[in-house]
Amino acid sequence: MKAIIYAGIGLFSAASVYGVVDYYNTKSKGILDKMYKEETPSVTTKKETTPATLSTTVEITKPIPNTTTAVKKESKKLKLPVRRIKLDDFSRGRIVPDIVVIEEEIKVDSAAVKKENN
Amino acid sequence: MLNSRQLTLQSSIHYFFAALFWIPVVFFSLLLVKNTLPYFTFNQGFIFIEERALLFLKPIYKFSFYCHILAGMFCIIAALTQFSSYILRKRKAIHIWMGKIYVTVVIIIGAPTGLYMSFFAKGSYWERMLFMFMAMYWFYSTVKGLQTIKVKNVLAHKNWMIRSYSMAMTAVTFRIYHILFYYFGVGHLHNYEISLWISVLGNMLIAEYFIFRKSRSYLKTFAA
Repeated sequence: MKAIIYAGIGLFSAASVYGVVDYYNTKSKGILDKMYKEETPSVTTKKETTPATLSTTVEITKPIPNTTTAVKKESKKLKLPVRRIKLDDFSRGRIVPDIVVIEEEIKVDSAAVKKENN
Repeated sequence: MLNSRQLTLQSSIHYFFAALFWIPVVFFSLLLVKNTLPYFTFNQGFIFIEERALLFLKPIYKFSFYCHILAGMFCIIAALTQFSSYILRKRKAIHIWMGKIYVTVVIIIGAPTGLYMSFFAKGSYWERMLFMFMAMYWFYSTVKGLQTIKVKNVLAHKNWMIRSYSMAMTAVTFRIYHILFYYFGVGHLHNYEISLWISVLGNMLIAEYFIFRKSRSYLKTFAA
């Protein structure tokens, strides 16, 4: 068992000396500055709109009794980072949030769209 | 003098709290081992490796990393058997052999590789110093644990091995805090630093509390 202790002390000393030398070498090359850069999570928004021509044909064929009843649906996709705990995240590495796509349907007043098209 | 009902209740409470402590310890230790195994596919696609991609170009760093995680796995598994009073009483050979594996792996592989890697650890200068302290304390407490059992000082051996195990368990507690702080929305780098400090200092305090509790009856002999 004494041999293990002596071997351990030798390896430990070697690791500390080599660690110091390697640390200064790496630092002088600028490698340490390039690592561990934190990236800010970005939220991307994607809008899907129906083509303008489609909405105009619908409006011509159908009479518009009230300006608020005829509506066009516009879908909006939001990619949001969601925090979920997974057993695979049990590590020293950065935990990457799941990206969940949320689709929202927004009702748009057709009269206003028509006005915009004209 | 306690009657048999009180004694049963007392032992039930003792087993309940022991289970409350050991079930999460065993679960998270095995989870750590399970999550470490995929690294031995030597695939570079892990987030931990991607963050240190430039360091992994160094063969010595890469070698140290794989040795360190292998050592960590052995330590965690070996240490789980060491605190069982059943194994200690009825299967002492298991305790001795697992202890030898633990001590050899820590002294020869785990602590030296940990010390080398601590120079390049994530975080500020203080986090690197903390990693270095961890490696040194892990090494020292394990050596002391070995030396004390060689001179048949069982109480001191227990105390030093609890300290050594507390350092090995920082790998597990760090991950628990890391996930918890992540869930509460703490930014990654801050989360990493806070989890590291809490896991190291927290484990040391818990270890000292256990040592104090175990040594209480022995300390009382000085007062008498």
